Amino acid sequence: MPPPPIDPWFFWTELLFTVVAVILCWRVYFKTKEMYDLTRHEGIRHFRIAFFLFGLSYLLRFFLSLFFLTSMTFSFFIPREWILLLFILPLSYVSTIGIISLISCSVWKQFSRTTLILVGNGIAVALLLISVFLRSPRAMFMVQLALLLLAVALLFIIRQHPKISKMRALYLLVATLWLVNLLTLGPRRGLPFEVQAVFQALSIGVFIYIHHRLVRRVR
Amino acid sequence: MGRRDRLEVIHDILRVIADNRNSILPTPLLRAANMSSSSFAEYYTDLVAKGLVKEECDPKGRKYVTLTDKGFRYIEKYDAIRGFIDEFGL
Repeated sequence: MPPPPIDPWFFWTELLFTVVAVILCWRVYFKTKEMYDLTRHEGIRHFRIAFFLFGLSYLLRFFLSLFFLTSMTFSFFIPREWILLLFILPLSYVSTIGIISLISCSVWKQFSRTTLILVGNGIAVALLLISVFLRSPRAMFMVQLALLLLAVALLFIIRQHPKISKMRALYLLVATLWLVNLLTLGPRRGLPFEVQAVFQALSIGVFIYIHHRLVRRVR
Repeated sequence: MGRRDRLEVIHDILRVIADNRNSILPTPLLRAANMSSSSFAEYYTDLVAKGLVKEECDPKGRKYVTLTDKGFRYIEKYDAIRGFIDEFGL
């Protein structure tokens, strides 16, 4: 019996979503390059790192999703250790540092650069080890969710100025949407395709909004 | 007037140099920058290291401070950068 074909809707939606998300994230990164070169501003540095790593995370997510899709369709076998090494480890580390950098955009003034680097990488390595131990995107989702909740608590504790709370909320939304998109990975999707597509459209909307506001400033 | 942040201090120093036809002695620059000499020394070293200003000597051996292309670009882009940092809460 021939293998069931890959759902074309699923494949093309994933591909389109990934291409648009990666382009928008990396455009934010490159558009802020001159500002950072001129000022070496720490906030801009965290902002740029966050968007570069989110772009990379969405790209790795696509490869992992493609792997699950093709392995189910064509029934080929890849040892779990290889999946872990090739996809889950880099995805876990890169996306955790991305979330931490995004949070650091708002809190960098309260901590020294060394503290942020050490704590950020420490958390990323700890989450990576948990992902290695549990070996699944769902486990990665759970530990990153815990990280996000901690970040929300931190942002509420360190409140400086009411004006910036809108952007902080937007950063949390970017991180939350990443987690939702992570939830849809794996041999068994965590959400129905229609719901997943809605969240993907919402993610693109948020990236377009951030990109638009940035371009309006820097041109 | 509130306390100036680092970005604003750098902008003010560069602005003074530009307003003096891009050539000023370090001492008048220190006076115009409106800051302590120790802070000024720290900023000045940083500006030279980042390539925003450079030192040039006249035939009498006096040292003048001038803006580099990067320094002019900083002044030109300052408002946009300030706006971006404020708008994105960085």
